[in-house]
Amino acid sequence: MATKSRPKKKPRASAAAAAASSSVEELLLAALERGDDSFETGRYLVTFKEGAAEEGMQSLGTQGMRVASARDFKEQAATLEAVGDADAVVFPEIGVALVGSGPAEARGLSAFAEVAADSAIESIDPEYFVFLAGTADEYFRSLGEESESNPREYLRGFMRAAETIAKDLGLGAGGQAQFDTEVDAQVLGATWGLVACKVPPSLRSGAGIKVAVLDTGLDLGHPDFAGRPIISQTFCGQPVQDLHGHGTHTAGTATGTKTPAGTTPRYGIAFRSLIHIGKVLTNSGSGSMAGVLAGMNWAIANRCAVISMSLGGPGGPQPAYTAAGQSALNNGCLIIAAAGNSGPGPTGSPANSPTIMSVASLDKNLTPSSFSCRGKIEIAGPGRDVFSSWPRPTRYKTISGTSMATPHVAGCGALWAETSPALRGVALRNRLLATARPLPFPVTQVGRGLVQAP
Amino acid sequence: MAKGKKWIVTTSGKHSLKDVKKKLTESGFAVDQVLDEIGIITGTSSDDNVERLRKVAGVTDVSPDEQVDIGPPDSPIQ
Repeated sequence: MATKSRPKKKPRASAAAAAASSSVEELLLAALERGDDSFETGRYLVTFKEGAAEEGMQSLGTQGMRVASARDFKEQAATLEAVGDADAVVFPEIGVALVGSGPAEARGLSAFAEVAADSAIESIDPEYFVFLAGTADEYFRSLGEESESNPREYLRGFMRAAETIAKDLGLGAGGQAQFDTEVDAQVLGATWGLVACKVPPSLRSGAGIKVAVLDTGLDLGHPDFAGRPIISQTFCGQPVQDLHGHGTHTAGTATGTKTPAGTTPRYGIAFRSLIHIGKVLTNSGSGSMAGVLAGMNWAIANRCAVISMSLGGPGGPQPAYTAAGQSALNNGCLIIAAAGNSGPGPTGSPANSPTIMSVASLDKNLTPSSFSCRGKIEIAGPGRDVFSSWPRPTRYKTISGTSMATPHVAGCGALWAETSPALRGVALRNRLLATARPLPFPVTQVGRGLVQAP
Repeated sequence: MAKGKKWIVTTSGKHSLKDVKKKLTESGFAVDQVLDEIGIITGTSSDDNVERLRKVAGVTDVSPDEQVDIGPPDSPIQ
């Protein structure tokens, strides 16, 4: 933003949220910061009089605003994050402009501003947040959550301290790696898979990281996803709403909430990631390669740092998947796919493509699951008896498969991506491999070992 | 519409996708979608026309579209 157009009086909202291009996350944080429960984003929608849109939009420019137009975007699918530091975005087809809070304040634009009768402006209104079914309260609560006021966090901290002491005393090392799930679920309030991947003690949340899950969709009304901004698209001709369950389960593991309702243990990893749901499989759990490739194309176009694919087919590597995987890496995206459940048979496609990361499944005792395919394996994740979200009214379900191991790697990938903007594509893959916990099994069964959170 | 089945055409990325699409269409390929991020074109063609499609400049592979799966909803292993 040029110094010239910067308002002298700083708006109350944080500077990051002042531009038209601010992300929803930034706007929500700014609203929280100013203790605003009005559901206003701080930005303004300027509606122009019929037939006066062109004139009005030009007038924004003559007032010194940097104006981006939706016309500059392909098929006019303007995404606000993509308009850079523009002060305003105009939508010529509907005669409306969105003006950032900073530029608006600087020019005395507000809902209460006097609009001259001969002005091209019809009205100026505050922009409001739009939430999914459910309440915004939960989202605000999760953003403002203080760790010291969260007993579960306190317990996790306590467990970490106890672990360190045990290690110092030489009690922790050696012996068979095994997780007592009941104790973990009680004490840590998390699934065995999350505990094994060291997710609960991680300070990362996947904030700001786009995670795509290409699957059977999502139960968009699931209470654990209430208030989460979700971007979704179908590629199989059916609505995104998941009537199968598989997609809701895998998305739950990769991106689900940190604090599910009641006594439900934590099962989600990147709980502040930006969820992108691509429905590429129908409600019967099948789809075509063409639909899957269209979903991959969409996720890459959206620059999702992590693309989780718990799906596959038999046969050797498909050139199309290999090409898509390479495009992903070239654009800072990493595709993570399930090795397949026909073990000890060979890894299926798309996981067998060299440009795609292949995930094997582990049982609770950290041995390879009997169903897990072998061969081209990069890494392993918890895949036996995995608890996660399921479409209502069931809400939760425990199932097994390399499909369940894959989102553990995707979620941890999002946490790693959050630690540095340099960790994208190949660099992210290398970091996941370098930090995996080695296991005493052949590379063809577990790759470099069990994925670990940062 | 061309008779036959669905195919996935992978391109080298060295030719403009628009040109490849044009040549594929001229070679009897009914294009469904052009996926420009990943350089892939999907569509329909008869089996005996596929060799012709493979010879189009910029095409690296033509493979049949296949079914992709996960276990059925009640399967214990997904």
